[in-house]
Amino acid sequence: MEPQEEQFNSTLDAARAGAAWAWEQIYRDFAGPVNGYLRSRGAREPEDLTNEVFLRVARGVHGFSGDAGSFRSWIFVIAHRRLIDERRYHGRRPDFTELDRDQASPDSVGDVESEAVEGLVTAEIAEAFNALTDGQRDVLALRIIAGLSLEETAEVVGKRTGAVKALQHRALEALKRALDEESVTL
Amino acid sequence: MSDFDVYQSDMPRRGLTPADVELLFSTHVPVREDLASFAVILECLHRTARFDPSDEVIADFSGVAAEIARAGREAPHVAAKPTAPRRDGLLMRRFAGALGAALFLTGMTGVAMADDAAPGDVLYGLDRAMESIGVGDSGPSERIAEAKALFHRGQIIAAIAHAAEAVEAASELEGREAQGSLLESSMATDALRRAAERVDVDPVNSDDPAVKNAVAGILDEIANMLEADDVEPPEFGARISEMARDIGRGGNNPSETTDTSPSTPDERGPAAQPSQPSGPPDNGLDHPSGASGGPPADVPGRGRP
Repeated sequence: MEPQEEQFNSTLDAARAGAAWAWEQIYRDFAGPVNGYLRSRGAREPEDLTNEVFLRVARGVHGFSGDAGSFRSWIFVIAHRRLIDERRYHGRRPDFTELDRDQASPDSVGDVESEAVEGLVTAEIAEAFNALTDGQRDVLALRIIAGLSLEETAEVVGKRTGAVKALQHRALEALKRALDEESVTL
Repeated sequence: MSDFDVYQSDMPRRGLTPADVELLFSTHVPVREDLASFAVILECLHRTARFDPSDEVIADFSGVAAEIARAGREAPHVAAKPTAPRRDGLLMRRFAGALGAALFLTGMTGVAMADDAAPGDVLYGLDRAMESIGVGDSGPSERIAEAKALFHRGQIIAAIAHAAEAVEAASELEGREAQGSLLESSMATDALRRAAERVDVDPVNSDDPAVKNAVAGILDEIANMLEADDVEPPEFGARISEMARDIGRGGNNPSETTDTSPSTPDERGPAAQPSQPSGPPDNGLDHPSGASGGPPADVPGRGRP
């Protein structure tokens, strides 16, 4: 067994037994990507929804079986479904919840002028992202923001890997085209 | 032929090759010089959207999740296979009940703390998340307890708005709609929200002892009626509407407002003491946020680092 898998299994066992350190590790590893995914897909309360996702993970962890990749997919399957439920409930079009411009460029802290310029650029990126189709945004958010693999992304959105491959390619093309038109560079 | 094969067949007309795409996703290091800027943009997208939680939030979450997982060993397992569709409804409610009982028996602390959290607390997000998975209270009683907590912190407007949520939640209790309480409750909810708006429009209202006294009275009234399960139409909604109507209109008379409260100090319990209507002038009525003698609590954000 690979050392990483071994480490994952021991963390998972500890999480099942209710060890706080294991849940801390799981939350540290995944809360950022889950939150980022939910925000980028227009969740109304991304922080609350992130907590809900992980509480569902805590509740269901005894029934989970699989490796680290499956675990990651499972977490995002829950996040994806909760997002769909939320959209259905509120009946709204998903887009970036908000942009945190302080996070857009950590190196620029203190430089008001460059912060303003980069904030503008980031807004244009978000605009270009929001102009993609729902399916394209799902795939890009899962791949770029959540950092999922092609296979994991396919599992989360419930599509074949070939379909996801085509979606991601079209999405990148569309995003690049939109940004080229706007002449956005960093 | 797969979807991707079909798509790939007209690749020459497009700007990105499959190899470019893979590299952009895997390392964000482009194989072509003209993609360097695009790769940086993707990195920016990745960085902008991610929102890593603070250590405080992680610590709070870990404690609650650990307790839920520990309690889950004692409760029946529900669909947790990676790809299995989640089932809501009866099964989930049964599970939530069993989990709640298990949490109670294991003497949980973090869960209880989160369950007691009020809006503005770091744990409040967890509290609402727990409610959504069926752990912890989510009914009108919890909402009114949260409204009281807000009131005691001096957040008068938020307290009124939360009281409206409590009334709304009360109207959603099983069977209440059928008894025709919806309209009355809706009127009461509207009256409360309008009262919150009136107080909000004029900041002086938040510091007006008469307004505070009236709000304290209304919170106690709702709490008492909920406790006594006396929320049947038309009295409940009508009574709350009547009490809310004058809040923030100016000329609130504490004695008039509080005289309408049917409860005695003993019935109210310690949490309600600052709003006790028949107490002396210095019993906290004029300074509900200052039960501890200070200004409104500096409440941290809702789980944002």
